[in-house]
Amino acid sequence: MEAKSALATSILVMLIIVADMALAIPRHVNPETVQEDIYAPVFLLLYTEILDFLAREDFNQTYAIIERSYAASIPPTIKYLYQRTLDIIKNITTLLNETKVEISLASKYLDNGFYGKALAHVEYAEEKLLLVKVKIKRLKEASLELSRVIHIPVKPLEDRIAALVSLTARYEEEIDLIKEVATSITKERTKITIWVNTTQCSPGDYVLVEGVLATESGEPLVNQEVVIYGNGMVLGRARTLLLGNFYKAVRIPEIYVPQLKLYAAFRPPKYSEYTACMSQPINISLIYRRLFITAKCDKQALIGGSFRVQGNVTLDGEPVKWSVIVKWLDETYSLETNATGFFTVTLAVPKYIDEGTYTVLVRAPGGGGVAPASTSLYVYLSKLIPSINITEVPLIALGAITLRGVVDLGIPWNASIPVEIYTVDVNVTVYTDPDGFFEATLFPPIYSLSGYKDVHIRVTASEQHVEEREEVVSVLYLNPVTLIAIAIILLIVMPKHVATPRKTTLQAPEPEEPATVPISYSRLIKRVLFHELWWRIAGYAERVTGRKVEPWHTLREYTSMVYRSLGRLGELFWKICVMAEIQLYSPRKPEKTLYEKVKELVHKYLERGDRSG
Amino acid sequence: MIGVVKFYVILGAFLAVLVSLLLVAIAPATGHFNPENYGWNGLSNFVEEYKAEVVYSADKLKAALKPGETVLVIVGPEKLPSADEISVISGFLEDSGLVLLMDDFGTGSDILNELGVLTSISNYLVIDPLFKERNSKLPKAVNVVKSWVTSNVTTLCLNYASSLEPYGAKVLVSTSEYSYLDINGNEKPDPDEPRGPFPVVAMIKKGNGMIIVVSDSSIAINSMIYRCDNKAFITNIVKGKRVIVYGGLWEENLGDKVRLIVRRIPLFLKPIEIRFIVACSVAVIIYKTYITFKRMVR
Repeated sequence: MEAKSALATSILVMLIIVADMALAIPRHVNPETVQEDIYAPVFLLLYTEILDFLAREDFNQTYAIIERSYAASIPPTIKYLYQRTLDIIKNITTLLNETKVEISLASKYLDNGFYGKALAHVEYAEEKLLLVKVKIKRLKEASLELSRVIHIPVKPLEDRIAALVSLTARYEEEIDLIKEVATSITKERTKITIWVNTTQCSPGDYVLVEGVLATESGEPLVNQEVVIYGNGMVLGRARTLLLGNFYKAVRIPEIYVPQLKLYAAFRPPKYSEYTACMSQPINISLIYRRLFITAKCDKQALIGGSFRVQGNVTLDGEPVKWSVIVKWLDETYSLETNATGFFTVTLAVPKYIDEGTYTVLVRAPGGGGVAPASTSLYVYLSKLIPSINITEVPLIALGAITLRGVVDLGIPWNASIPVEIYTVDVNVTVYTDPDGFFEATLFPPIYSLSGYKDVHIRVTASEQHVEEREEVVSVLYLNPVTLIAIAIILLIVMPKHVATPRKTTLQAPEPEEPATVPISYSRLIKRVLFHELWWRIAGYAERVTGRKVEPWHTLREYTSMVYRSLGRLGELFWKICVMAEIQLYSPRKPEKTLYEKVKELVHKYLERGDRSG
Repeated sequence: MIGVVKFYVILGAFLAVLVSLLLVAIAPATGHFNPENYGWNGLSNFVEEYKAEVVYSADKLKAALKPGETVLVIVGPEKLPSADEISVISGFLEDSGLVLLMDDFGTGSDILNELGVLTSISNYLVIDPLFKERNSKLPKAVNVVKSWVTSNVTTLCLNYASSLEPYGAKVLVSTSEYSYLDINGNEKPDPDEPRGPFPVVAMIKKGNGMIIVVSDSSIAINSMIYRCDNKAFITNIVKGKRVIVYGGLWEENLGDKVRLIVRRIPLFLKPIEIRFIVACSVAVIIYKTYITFKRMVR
């Protein structure tokens, strides 16, 4: 029976818990066990969308959708076909895009008079377009195959393919037009020849560039603008004179490279009868001296500290007395090397700066045929890592916890550092003295219970330059108030309930069993009624005999004392008292009819008493 | 004799409840987003992957949050936020904090509203019949805008997700054009139901900080975190930062509550006063039981 009851209770508890879990609002489904969707050919919409963008020549968007479409959920039976079709569309997109680029390049060259180049690009475009046509044919086949497999006609797809065919036809027309224009125009070809007065110079020097601009047949072109370039940079512009000749002194830029490629170009106005041309380049060797910097700095420095940068400067390998510029954060420091080319500088790190890697730029300025040199050095500025040493901690803290300690930042800081000291129920913030010492006393609240308390000592990382650090010490805290209160309560309450039996007015003779036998509710009520009955007859006995019931009297003591004085009633009184004794103090359950019997006797007793006056 | 039987029945029932509770305490957690739940709907992988710290009260949250060093993650909130919680989150945002809020059908909108942000979560289910996993309730968000949050992210796998109503927030990820909001819950696209794309990830500047809202609470659960680019997405946000998960807004199920209570008993017994009282009470109960038992036997 007990086992069944226990099992039933267990099952009930478990059921309540499981029901509670099941009643929670759904927030997600299990991806492993969720039912798979029934297949629907929604993916056809993707194709139509892609081809729509393609027909509008929005190639970027087309590419984006194609790439995205590979992630679509497709049933495994048609996945291969789906991806192959996407691949074909992707190929067509690439080819159409290239065709369009080629056509637009050809068109630009045509506008600028470079007819040969225009024709070359048109040819590329034609090649691409041929491939597009082949791919479109394959796309048609793929769409038909798809239609057969999914048993659905793909009319919208066919319409879009037709739109692609018309796009290729438009491209063909554009190609034909460019070809026609490029071949129909006849312009006179031109040529330009240049020469310079030197083949070697230093950066910053001036060089005289001379040249002639004429047609291929030798007719000079007068009053035309010629642009002179050096390594792609415009160095100057010149106008042709009567014989088509021109000259210009150009400054060689201060770019310290071994060679400079010098050339001139002629670009005719838009509707000119001449073609554009470019001269053969002339190489000019640049002569200059080289500065070298070899520098190093400390790899790591502390925020608020400093670090050293040192190095050497050489000119073509020889030590030189030269100026050096060091750029650190927002400051620029100018130094001079000594005769051996050595320089050194100590740079200060500000206190309030973020942790991280910073660059120091060291530069030796050039000029006058000397190439400048520069180098970048890297220094990691690390946060200060404080160490917390607790110098004094109490073994047992009675009422208050007092701690002393020191915070060391590793470098002289000379400022107060906030230190937060806290337990679960109290916290204080103290400041260290300039040497890092601190002292704190925590007063846990009056309701704080005794026990081992973790006291956290934390240097906060509120500022970026100090790493957060926390130390924890365990202190046995005793709360005198709660401990005394509990001791008093236990001393007062516990003995009453456990040790000393409660005094009763009428003490029964020593029971055979301890008086703590559980009593049923009905028996308790009867006890009260017995008390009431007994006091009625005892009151009568007191009046008749003149002897009072004293608090120390037991039932039996008082009965034996007044027994004789009551005369005839004495026996009846004795009988009632014996029965009451059984009812009130016997550990065994008295007879059910006992109360009725006693009640009857009491009435009899009182009646007799009344009769006898 | 009957008294003895009654005593045994009560004792048996008491022991059964005790054993049941102990079993629940020992059994693995099963609640949604529970960091100790190793099942499909738990957050154990997320917590282990990012060494996340889970805090359950506003005070502890305040102590744990360090702007610039930590990122606050709120996953699937179910309770309404208290004024204290809002004050802590708001303060964190003012100090350049970063908050990642992932919610679909919970109290995410209330949190945003309390923080003074107009963006909200629609609380309607997003279904995508084309870009999805096994089921259309597992949509894939494929429209991704390039940003530091979406670096190396091309697709997000969602699970029973909702959509965002951005109101000026920068939308970073959206579902496909083929998705729809299932407003009437029939899991079919009806003509009057809105069609995608729907924003599912948005970035909101608040104070000096930033909130990244995801309208799906499930992308970080054990069964979803390694799907698509979900992990890369979360990593982009929490990279180089300490992750603080706030669990104070979760509605724990009964099992988890019991587990928590049973596990907290040793903490309750820590103060000397409590130990003293418990020891005395146990001694008295044993003494009384012994006496009662002895009498019953007689």
